[in-house]
Amino acid sequence: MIQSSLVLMASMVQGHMESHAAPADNMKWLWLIPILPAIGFLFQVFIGTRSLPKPVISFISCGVVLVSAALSWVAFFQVKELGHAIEGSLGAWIHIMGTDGQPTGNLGVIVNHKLVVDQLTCIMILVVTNIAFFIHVYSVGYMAEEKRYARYFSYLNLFTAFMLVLVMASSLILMFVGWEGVGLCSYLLIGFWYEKKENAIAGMKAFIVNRIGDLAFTIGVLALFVAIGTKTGVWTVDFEGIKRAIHEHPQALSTGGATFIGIMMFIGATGKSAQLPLYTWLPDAMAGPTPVSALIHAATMVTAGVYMIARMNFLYVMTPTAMTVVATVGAITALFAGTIGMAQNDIKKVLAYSTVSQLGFMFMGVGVGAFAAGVFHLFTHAFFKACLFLGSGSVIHGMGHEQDIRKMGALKSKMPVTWVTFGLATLAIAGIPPFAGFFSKDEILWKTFSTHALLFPGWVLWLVGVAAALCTAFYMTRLVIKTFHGRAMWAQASSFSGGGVNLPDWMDEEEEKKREHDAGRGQDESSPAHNLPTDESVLDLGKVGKHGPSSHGPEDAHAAPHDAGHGHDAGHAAGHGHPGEPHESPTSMLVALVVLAAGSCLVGFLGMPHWWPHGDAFGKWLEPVFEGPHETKGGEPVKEKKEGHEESHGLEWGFMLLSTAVALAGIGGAVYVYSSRSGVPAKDFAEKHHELYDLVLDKYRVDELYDATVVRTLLNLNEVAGRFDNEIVDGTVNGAARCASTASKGAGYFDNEVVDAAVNASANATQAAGRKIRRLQTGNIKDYLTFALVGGLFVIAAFCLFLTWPDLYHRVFGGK
Amino acid sequence: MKFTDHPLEHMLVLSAILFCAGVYTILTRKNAVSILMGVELVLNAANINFVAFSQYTRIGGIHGNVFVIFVLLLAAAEAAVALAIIIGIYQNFGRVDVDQADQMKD
Amino acid sequence: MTSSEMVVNLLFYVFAVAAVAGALGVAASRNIVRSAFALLAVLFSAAALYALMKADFIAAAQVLIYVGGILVLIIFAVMLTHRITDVNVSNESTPGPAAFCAVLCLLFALVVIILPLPQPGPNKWDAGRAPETMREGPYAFVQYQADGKTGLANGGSTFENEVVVGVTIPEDRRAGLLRIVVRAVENPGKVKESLETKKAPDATLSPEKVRLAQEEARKTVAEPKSLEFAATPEKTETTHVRLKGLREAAYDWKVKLVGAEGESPWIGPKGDPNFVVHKGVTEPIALALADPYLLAFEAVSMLLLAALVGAAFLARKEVKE
Repeated sequence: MIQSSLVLMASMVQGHMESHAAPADNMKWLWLIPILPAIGFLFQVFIGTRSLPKPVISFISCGVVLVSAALSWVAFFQVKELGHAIEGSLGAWIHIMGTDGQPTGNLGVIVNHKLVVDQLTCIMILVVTNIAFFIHVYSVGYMAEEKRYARYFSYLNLFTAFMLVLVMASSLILMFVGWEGVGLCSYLLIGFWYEKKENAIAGMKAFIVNRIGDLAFTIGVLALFVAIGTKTGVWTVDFEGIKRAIHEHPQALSTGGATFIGIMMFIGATGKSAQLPLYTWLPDAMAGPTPVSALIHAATMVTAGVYMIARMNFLYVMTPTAMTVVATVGAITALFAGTIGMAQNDIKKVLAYSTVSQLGFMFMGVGVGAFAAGVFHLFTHAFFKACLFLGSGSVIHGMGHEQDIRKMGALKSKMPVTWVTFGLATLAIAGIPPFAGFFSKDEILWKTFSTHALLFPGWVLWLVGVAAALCTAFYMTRLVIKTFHGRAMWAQASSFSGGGVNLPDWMDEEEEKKREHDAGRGQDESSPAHNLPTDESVLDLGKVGKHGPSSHGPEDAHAAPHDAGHGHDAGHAAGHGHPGEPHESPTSMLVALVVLAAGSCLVGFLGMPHWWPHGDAFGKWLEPVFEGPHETKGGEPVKEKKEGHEESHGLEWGFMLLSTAVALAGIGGAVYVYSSRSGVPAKDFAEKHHELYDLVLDKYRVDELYDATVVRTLLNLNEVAGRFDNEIVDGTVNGAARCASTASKGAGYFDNEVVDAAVNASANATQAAGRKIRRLQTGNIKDYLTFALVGGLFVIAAFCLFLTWPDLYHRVFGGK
Repeated sequence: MKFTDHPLEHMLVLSAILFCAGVYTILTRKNAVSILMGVELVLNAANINFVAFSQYTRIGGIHGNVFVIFVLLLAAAEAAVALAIIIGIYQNFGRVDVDQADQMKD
Repeated sequence: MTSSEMVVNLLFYVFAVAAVAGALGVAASRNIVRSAFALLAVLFSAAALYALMKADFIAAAQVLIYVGGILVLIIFAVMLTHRITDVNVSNESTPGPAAFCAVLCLLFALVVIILPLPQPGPNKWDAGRAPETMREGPYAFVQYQADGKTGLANGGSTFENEVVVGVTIPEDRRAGLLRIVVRAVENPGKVKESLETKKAPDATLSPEKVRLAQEEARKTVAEPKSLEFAATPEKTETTHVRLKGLREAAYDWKVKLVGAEGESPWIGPKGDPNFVVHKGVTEPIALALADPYLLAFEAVSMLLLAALVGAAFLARKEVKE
């Protein structure tokens, strides 16, 4: 994946020849939008890590994203003016010749380095670049004391680049490049503080679970490619090409085939966007730094699945079955995660499950055919969820890495800006008009209720969605109350020494003693019920004690300026053994919070119901991209456009009121339980139904289920395979080696005993013969003469026997 | 006038006997002078052979007799030198036992 | 067989036995002096045998050189290589059985195997050989083919005043052949002056006898004799005609065939068909030494000189101070 992306960049730099004639407006500058963050990444990797000063690093990283954002605005206005998509191509990337010799003949394909920005993509790149920019700025403050500063920013830039490639890609393959790339960056960033093993494991979990989804996605893509190609003769993976092929040959893709493809690709989406059953990585991903959680796991990466389904809307509208699957899974996930969120105690976990739940809403929306609604919810969700995450980061930062909300409380006076922004975002997510979440969520619920595109009536899912919305409002309010209102749990002597010292037991003894001595307070034991993976708090700012390979020593015990150019009271930081109180975050962090909160308030008006004045600007904007779902009667699609626009708007008004009421009910309930009664009813409920409570607290033990079934099986298989390899394969190799060595020993023995014996025997024989023959040489002339005489006799005998004198005579003198 | 009644073969047999006796003497005797006597016997046998062939037949004309003359001369020369050597050996070693003059032994 | 012939035959045996005995004495005697004298017997016997074979010069040379020179030398050496006190000079022998067997085998090979081997076919030695012809030797054997076309003739010399001419006539021309006549004509150009003419007058003889002898010798020289000999054709292809009573001279010869119808002319062979009659081997040897063997003769004389000097040097007594 890295290789493909590097190839991508390299080939872009080289500038390949175009394999398809470029349209008149080949806007190659579009490539700058993803390239610039990639350049930022390369810069940080090669130069930034050489101990550049932090301001330079921040400037470069934020700068490239800012320029990208500006260019996306340019692209937006371009598309707005032109009214159609713009594209920029840098030539062909993959060119596989078809088996029948045609360039895109049988199984041949040309994949271009081509970015297409249509209306949907515009939305996405605007969201990605702008929110990424603000999160970069936020990170400047949040990660100010991070030792691996440049690396962090390099990963952030890389992620931005890949995400942009994902949403701007013109073909499924290029999108997959981005798809994989963001998965990689997610892994890198989740496991950023890899000294803590749980973080690394969380990163691996995210990557592997994603991978499972990617397998299904790939199968779906290839099936689509082959199906389209064989049925229509068009071999392409471009979105445009596939769309055109399906429109021109409506019979090409059978319903069953489309269903299969749709479900396969959706499984990939469940992996990427954390739906059932592949959602388990998202809560664990909270081990990464909070800005990362905000960017990747709230605003952008997790929305890739929704984007993909929106992009492939022309396919999904053909298969009611697949759409049903999508919507159902989305709805169930929404409710499921919502219920889990009600019992969590880690602020980030609550938000994580909230993300899963809201993603379920989005999938529900696109599943019923309301693609614009789903994308709109994605849009608004990016704002308020990012704001919530950043706010939580601010809280954590201010609380000195405390993440347990039971130890917080009454922070609204200490962190006013955070409180305000957090509260606004909470209202947005709960669905209170006129905040953003209301419009988007309401539209989804309305469309779900009134859809005819599924196999069963939509109100079934609508009920589920309403329940999920209720849960959402409830747990978000609970979060706010417990964090910002109520009693200040941190002020109790036992739980806040020098700013919330929840030093894990593995910290240095000396560190502890020093803190004790400094604070004069007792040591607090590690708080229980920290959810997995753990103590981000201790590592968050990199101020950890010595533990193994941790690179953060105690030298950073004191707060350096968090960000250049921002003064800051030195007495703030918790965890350094410095007595203090929760405090507001630096301005660099607050800026993002404010902007996002403002967005949460305002962007909702983009998607007002279309029969309001200036209504549904969002939907109208996206109209060229989406086609509506087809009616289904008895499970089979009816190829008519749904006509629901002239229904009575009264029903819609009613639903809007109903959504508001549900939200208020949720809020009210939470306020009642947690504020008025200080959480007593909740505690009672938890004690009375403690099994249920434990189950929910343990997230329904899904992870344990997976572990017991899938993971164990795979590990056992791994062990068996390993044993096989060791014993049988290695045994075979060793056996062969032993055979060879035995054979060689045998050969050596043969050589020594037999061959050498033969050689020695011949030598000995020669010697013996020599000894005997030597006795002939007596030195006695007489003996020599005797021998001569005997020899002469032999000659005579030879003559007599074989040669007669006459012959000899004739030989000598000639004659007869 | 007839020559004799004895054919050539008789002469040849006689020379063969002399030759073998001479060879036996050479091979068997210890005394160097005895060996020399054996050599003379051999030469004489050869001479008889030559003369017999030359006289009984006319193969080669008179040349057989001429060769005999040469053999005679050379035998004389060789005997002289050999005896001188023997005298020298006697003077050096005190005896002329060929078995003891075996410095050529391996 | 005349008594002289019988004596001659007997003499052969006598000297042969003596030679063999002497040889055995040399081989087997334990006393070296005795073996030296046995050698003496052998040498003398050999000389006698040479004389019997009408090789007079060689016999004389044998006696002179071998007996008179070599044997004396040997006896000197025998005496010189023994201590004076050793009267019974021992001559031990190591009767190696190997040597004895080898020698016996040699004798066997020589006498039994090689000697009776058939000799190669018709050649100068063998052609038309009849046992009696051999016994008649020594003779100069000349072959003449009467058809006149080819002639195998070689000259030769004989030290016997009898020459046998073999005339080969093919079968188809033998019809009516009565006799073959060979005429030997003395060749005056080649007559060597006999000693008679050259020898110094014998002082004991009266001058008259000396003059008569010289005249007769001159007459011999002046008047070439011409002798004719005839022979009846033999059953074999080759007829031998014996020319007896020839003087010591060189002869040319011609052949005439006499048949019932008449006579053939005198046909001479091609080539140089003269032969010389000598008595004894002395002149032939001398002639051979002078002509073909001159170089060898001189070389041998050099060799003798070297041997002389060498022997003298080798046998010197070192002067001890």
